[in-house]
Amino acid sequence: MAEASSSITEKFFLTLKSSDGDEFVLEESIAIQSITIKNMVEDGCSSSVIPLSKVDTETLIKVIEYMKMHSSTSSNEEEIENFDKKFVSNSINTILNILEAANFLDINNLLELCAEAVANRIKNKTPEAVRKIFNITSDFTPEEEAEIRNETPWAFEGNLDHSLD
Amino acid sequence: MASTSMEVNSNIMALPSEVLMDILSRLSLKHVHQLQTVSKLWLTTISSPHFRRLYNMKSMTRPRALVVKESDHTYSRPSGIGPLSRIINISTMDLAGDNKIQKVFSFKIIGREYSFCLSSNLIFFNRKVCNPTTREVIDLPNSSNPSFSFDVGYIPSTNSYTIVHLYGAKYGPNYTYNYGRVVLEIGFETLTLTHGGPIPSS
Repeated sequence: MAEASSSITEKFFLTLKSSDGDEFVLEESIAIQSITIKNMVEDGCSSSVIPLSKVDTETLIKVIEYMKMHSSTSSNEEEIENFDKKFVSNSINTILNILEAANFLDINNLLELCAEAVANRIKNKTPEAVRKIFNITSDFTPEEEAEIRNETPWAFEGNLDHSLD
Repeated sequence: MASTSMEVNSNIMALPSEVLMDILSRLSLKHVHQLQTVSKLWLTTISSPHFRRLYNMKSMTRPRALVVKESDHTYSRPSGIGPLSRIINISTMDLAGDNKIQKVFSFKIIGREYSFCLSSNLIFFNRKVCNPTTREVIDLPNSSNPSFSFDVGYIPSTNSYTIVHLYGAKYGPNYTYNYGRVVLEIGFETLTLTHGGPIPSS
């Protein structure tokens, strides 16, 4: 009789807890797009709350939004495409946060989407523009920088895009 | 876990290096070289063997055309069989990217006999091999025997190329260097290029 009851498709739910302490209840079938979560479920570690100490609430909301849209049961291709387009128009910092979360949660599609988005954001930008976009301070002396340029002069011929958007 | 510093504001420097490499591997080779000057971390990342491997692997699957142009032939006599020297210009066109033709390099071939072929993303000419992705040119070991062919296999797991070089090893009595030779034996050698040929960086 145990067998009989297991044949009825039953929805399982998981609770994900962000680094800010907020809890989100999500269908297991959706959450296991994350290989990290899937492994936890398979190892039987998911009976209670799954703490995601590296993902803050704002980021987790976005990730869950993404997983819901991309779960097999919902939405057609066109909807997904439009969703993705809008998704990558988030600010660069949000995208970087999501990228970090996608890497930690091991959600390959999301990682791919965000990595491509960041690459597009810096495509053909000068090193100076890239530093500004990511708020990086150069730790090279002008001499060291010149040395790198001299090693591969062919790479520094021609014009690049100096704009920041 | 030990207390992780509480920097909530996201920062590209906070990304694991694999993720940064993934992003950078999507850019053109020229651009990647320029971005080495962003910071020391970026320089280290871009010049690491791990990144070279990733970049080369991705470029293997990126649709790309090699454009070869021969020019500036010189002839010694009107009836000469083939030119005495010529210039070969190699360019690449990234078909997945902006479709722009980028000149890689040109070289001069002297002498009538020359071996020139394209195989598995590599260009062979006059005992040199060039990887247009990494722009590295390597001299192949010299041998006095004339070449028949080069063939290449790419091994993704080690990111290396194995080159098989066929050459004439022993000739019949009426051997002349270029024409009318009778080959009695064929020899071969195999060579390995590791790291897919490094991106010139350090």
